[in-house]
Amino acid sequence: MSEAKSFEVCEYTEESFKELLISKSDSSSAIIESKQHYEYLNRYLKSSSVQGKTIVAELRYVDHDFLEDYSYYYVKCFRDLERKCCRLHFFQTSFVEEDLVDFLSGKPSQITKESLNDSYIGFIVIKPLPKTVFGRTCLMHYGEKASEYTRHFPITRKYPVNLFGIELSVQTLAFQEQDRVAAACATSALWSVFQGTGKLFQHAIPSPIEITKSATKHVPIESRVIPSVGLNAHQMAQAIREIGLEPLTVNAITEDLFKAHVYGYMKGKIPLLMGFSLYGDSKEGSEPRGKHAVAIGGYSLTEKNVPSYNGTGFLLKACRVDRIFVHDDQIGPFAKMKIDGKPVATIKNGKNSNKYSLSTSWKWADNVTGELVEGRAVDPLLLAPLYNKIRVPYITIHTRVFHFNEFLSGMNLGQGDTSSTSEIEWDIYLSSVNDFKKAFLEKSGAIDSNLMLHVLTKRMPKYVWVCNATINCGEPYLDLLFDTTGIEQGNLLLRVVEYDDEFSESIRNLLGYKDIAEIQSHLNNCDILKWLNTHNRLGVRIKEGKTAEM
Amino acid sequence: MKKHLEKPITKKSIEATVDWLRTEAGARQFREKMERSSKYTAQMSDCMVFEKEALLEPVTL
Repeated sequence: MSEAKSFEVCEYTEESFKELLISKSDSSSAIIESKQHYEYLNRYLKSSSVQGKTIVAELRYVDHDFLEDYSYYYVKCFRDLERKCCRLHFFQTSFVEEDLVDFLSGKPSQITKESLNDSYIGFIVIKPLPKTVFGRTCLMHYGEKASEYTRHFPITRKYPVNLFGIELSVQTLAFQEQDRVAAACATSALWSVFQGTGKLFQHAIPSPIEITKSATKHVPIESRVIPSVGLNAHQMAQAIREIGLEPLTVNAITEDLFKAHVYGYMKGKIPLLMGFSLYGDSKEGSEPRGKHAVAIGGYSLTEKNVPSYNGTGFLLKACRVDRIFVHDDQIGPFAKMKIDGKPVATIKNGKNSNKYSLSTSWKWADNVTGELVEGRAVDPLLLAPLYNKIRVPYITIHTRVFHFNEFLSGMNLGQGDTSSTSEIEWDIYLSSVNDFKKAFLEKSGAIDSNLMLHVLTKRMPKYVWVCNATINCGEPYLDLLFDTTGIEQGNLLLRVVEYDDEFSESIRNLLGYKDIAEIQSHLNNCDILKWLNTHNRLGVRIKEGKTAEM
Repeated sequence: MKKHLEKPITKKSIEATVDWLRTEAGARQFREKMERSSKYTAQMSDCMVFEKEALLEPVTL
């Protein structure tokens, strides 16, 4: 290869990909073949929805994140290490090097800007290191269908890419492998999470080395910080504080609680970090292999009927989450983890227990039998990096809506409904007020025009909790909008949006029975009932009462 | 006996509900349901409780 050469083009095959990974890093065939990333990425590039055909290797590429890590650590190594990387671009269309040379020389070519952009899959930065070669990786995710019951990637964003003046873009969330020097898995997961929050909350995105340093600045570990051996939950929370966000930590003690938090925050475009213990899937039970951290980048919903939340009769849309897609730095971007309800026998500090678990892509050979063991994620801990005014946590809103739903289903008991199951399905999620109003405006024509005007012109905080109730498999019933900035013990309800005339009339009629203690006692203790009793359907106060006006 | 209602509260159902709540058995049944629900909601904040050890263990894989 001549020194002046800036790029190479080759057809994508497993072999050509491997050759590039070896020749553009400081690695070997044995190391590359042993990496789970290599197998995972090949499976992804060959899949029917991706179908990679051509690789363009952009040589001597300067990668900001690697340069930061290089200037802090690698530059001081006695052995000379290359500081420039190679960036591999993947396309769904077939072309050869001459085609790209012709195009860049302004000559007639079979490729165009449009054909390149339309077929662009994304890129992988190859770091010039001996083992941990996968740097910043931006690859498009698997497709989303028009249906609600499919994969969702609400936190991805458009990454602009410039290849020799050709403007390309890919909708994704950046991923990178830990290098075990500047970053362990927790740092890599935080780096991916900050890729999402950086655009959403307008903060600078730190490099891996900056994250590791900031995490350990106030909460030092026993041994040296760099090379990094890992971070604990306190340190991960500190890294989030250092960029100006507030960490919300959730102990996901049940599977439904896990799903509810993942769905509630991710639909609001908040990326989540998940820490968990990795156990082997064995009937006899096993000790944990260790702790791991990943960034959650997406989820999918099943259309099938699912049991109510923790078997309480509370139908929650979040319980339909059946898979999450995570940036697992040891596997690859958007790796699937199934929430399949499988319990795992665990042994920790001599104590045996059965715990719910998620599937992982981790596999290893058992030390004794040599058999392949599949890894299961147990004891998930969620960390949500939040804008400081998103103060009211999900669980507070969930509890209030649950109580209101219980009141409504309690009313059904008198109708001979012994199932205690309401027909209402609740969709509880965080939303920016702009996103909520934008979606509400799209319902124009289907909603009473006065109600439309009142809701769209109501002053609300930047972020709200939206609790959308539907009946009969999707028919809109009502929305409850809660303040995220308020006092948890106080009234958080901003307003109720009522879509069902019969409900509006009937509930107010019911609340008017002042001689029935069971109704009146709940009216005094429930913000939602109180609001319905003191406001008309448009949200105009019609009676005196202690409800805050915004 | 029908298992589910199409809508939780309807014009038709209001009077029957009110009559039922006026009976001793109805009021007791409703109160018991809501008490069970309050007990359940009290446990919901357990997700904000952590084992100290779990927060200090480094994530190293």
